[in-house]
Amino acid sequence: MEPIVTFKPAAGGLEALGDAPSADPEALAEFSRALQLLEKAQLRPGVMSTVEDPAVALLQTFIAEQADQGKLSPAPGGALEAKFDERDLLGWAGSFFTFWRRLRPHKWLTAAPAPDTVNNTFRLTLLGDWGTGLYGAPVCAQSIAASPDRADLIFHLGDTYYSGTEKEIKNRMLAVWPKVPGAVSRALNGNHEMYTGGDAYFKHALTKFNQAASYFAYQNDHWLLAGLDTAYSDHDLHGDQVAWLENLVAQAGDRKLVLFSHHQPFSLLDNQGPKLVKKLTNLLAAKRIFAWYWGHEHHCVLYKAHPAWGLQGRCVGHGGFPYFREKQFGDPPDRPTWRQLDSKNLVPSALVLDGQNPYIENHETEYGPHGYMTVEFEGETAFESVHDADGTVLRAQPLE
Amino acid sequence: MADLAKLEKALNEALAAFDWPATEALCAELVESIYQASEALPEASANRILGALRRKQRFECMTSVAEALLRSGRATARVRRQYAQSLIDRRILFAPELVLQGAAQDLSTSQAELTEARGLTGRIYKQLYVNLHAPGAARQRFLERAIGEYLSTYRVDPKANLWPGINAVALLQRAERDGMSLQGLPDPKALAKEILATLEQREADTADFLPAWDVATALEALVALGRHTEAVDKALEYSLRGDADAFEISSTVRQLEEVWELSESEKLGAKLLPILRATLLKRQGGQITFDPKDIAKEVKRVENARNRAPDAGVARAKFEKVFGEDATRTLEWYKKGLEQTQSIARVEKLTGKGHGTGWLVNRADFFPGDSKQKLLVTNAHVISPSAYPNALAPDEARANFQALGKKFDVGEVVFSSPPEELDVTFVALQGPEPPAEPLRVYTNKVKLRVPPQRVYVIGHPGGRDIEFSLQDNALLGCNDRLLHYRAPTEGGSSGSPVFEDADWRVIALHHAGDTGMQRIDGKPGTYDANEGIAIRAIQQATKKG
Repeated sequence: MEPIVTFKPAAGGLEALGDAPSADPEALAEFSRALQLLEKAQLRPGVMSTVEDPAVALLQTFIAEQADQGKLSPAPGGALEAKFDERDLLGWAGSFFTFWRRLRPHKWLTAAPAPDTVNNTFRLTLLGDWGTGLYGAPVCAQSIAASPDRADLIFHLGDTYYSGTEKEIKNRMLAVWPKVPGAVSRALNGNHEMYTGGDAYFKHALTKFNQAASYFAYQNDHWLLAGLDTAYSDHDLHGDQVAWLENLVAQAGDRKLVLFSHHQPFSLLDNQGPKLVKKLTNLLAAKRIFAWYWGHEHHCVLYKAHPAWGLQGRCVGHGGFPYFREKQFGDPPDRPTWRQLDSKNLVPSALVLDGQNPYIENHETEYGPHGYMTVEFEGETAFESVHDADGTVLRAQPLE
Repeated sequence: MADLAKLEKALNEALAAFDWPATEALCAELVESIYQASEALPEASANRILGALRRKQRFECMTSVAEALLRSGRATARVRRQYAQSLIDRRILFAPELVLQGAAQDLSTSQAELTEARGLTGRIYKQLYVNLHAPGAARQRFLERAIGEYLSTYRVDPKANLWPGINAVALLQRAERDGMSLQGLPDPKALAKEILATLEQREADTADFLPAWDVATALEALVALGRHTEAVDKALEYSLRGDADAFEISSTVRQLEEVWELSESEKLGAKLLPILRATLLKRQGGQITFDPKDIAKEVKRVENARNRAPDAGVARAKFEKVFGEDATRTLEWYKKGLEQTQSIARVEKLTGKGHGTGWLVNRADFFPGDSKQKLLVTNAHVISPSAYPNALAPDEARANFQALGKKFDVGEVVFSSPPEELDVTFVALQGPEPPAEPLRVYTNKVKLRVPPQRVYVIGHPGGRDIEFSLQDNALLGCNDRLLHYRAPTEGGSSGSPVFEDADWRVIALHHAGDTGMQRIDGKPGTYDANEGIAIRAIQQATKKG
């Protein structure tokens, strides 16, 4: 269970802070802001929550580490509680900023110009926003490992919570990663990994997966698969990636191109990706991208073909992070159900997975289901399936 | 009733999968359970179950469940009405009137149920009038009673009770056409205008779309007013409505044909009916049967519906702006399906008696080389070079392309695999080649989707004229060699092409059906299924030689 953060005013009010240690006013203001955002985000105490904000994610990591060090108090229901009051707030802030100031972005690593090869028949498994080590995440891993249809490639579409520290990468991601003998694993960078500069992601996840860079490509006679790092520069393409991708495509002949990234090019439920779209304008305008799988949005969404770019968009961000069901869908269905979203402003209509989450105790009906996707490539055809965390197929269709 | 929730869930799944044998078995189980239970089935469950059965037109099941409910103490006005409805839809018209009378005399019946009961009574008399063609007192009485019931129900609340109102309009205009004499009744056009105005007000008052039934009501009102262009637009709008499934669309088609007497031979019917038929075919549970000689005309009608205005360029752009591309796509898909029939032949004995189905393929799609020769493919148990019980020898068989109006004698056998293997025979046809395109084949591996995809079988069931077989047609399972599906086929369908649902490519050669077919969907046991040989498996064998 995740630590609960509460703030209690000190007895005697702020006057009692007279003898507290001094702190950098700017840092203190930032800490105060993050704390308020965090308190607000904790709609269900004890259940993981997040705000897309580096200070908040880091504060969550920091509090979780305090819990590991036995510095938090027990709370009802078995959770641990980080009780901030005005008396010790300055102490917390000081330690937190010492931790934050040590963080530096990891050096950018450049991928090989040529793609790796993959057989003409292979099975790809996709997990997104899965690095919690909790709820449906380990169940997904077990299902993938137990599947009689063995995965050849397993991609994580980014995000290890809260901020991808070494401990989080090791405990919440690598320790729980699906154990599939012979499968090749690849991890994409996410904004949460980058909240700690991506250091542990680059050092530990990539090393473990024998992965040279945070972007990569695979190719066979019919398909070109390219994983992009959209997090090193937030929701953007850092470094040489555009030229690298365009070069791969130029060499790919008429192979169909499938992209994988953490962030979305477009969305009916979240922000759009204008920087990605701008940088990939040539490929999009030429309808060169056949399909694009992304995470970040903590939902499972299957879009219809994009009206202008022709690509099939898929959001697979429901791997393990608790996300609230959309209010517009009304009462929770007994079983996972697909809901229709109408097209809007050139974003195509879509099916969104709705349902309950049996892995978030006492809040099952409030959170949407966890799961993953698989894509079977066979010659020039691809067949995609959406799986519940326990492996049940919730939808299966040709990617066409 | 402890297992009721499970039973209801299983029933809903069977209905969603168009699994009629399972639906019947589950309803029988439900009836047993209702009779055995110490207390009546909860009202909400009863209403849900009967509603689900009605929506999928399982009227016999609906009758037996409703009867069990009535006998077990759940004799609410709504259950009685649903019971009556199930009987009416089975064309049993005397008993339901008594049931509805009982409901009307029950003081506890709500006003809403009284309205429904009177409307249904109107429906009984409408059906009696439509069924009876001979003039006479009975026909006059049926008509007057039907109009009377519909009109009085409408007048109780003209803002709400639109469906009895539009039925009154339809019957009043029908009476005019039939030369029936009626006194003191309203002008049907004025009534249609009033209904249309109510619907327009409803539409203005809501941010949401009107329910599909209201769209169908508006369509009928426009027909009544002779506003044909708007009626066609309304039919297109109706066709795009997700809440109008096969039950709603086929009810509308029946009303337009039976009461409004629209047909392909007059202007409005030629525009409206193809749109509704195309939609029906796209919906689960839809089924269409054609006389082959009408297919070319239907293709033309679809073409006209797609480019319905004189200035096709401008009208098309406007049409797509209003309705999106889905309506166009549905019409194009339907037209393409109709066009496939030209390449499908009834395999006949030399006496002209139907024996099976065959279809044209491009030789190069199956055999080495790039010959563009057109071959006929069918089952080996339909035409076989070796003596196989009931199979015709090539010189005993003829291919009758009914849609083309041409017959061809069967020539040399190019390839044959016995019934216990691939059950396929490829033959050449004698004389000049049939003037039809070979069917396109789907050579990738077929995989079962979730939810399962539908398949379409076009052939000559029972040796009859060419027929689309489109009801209960979910793919059940597949492997490298076989496909199992629930499309209803009978003798004479052997050798039919089985099409995929997106683009009319042939995925299998139909060859058998059984009530106890060994499952190939990864689960143990058997199921009721039809079986086709995967085109990919046939192609692999023929390419090898």
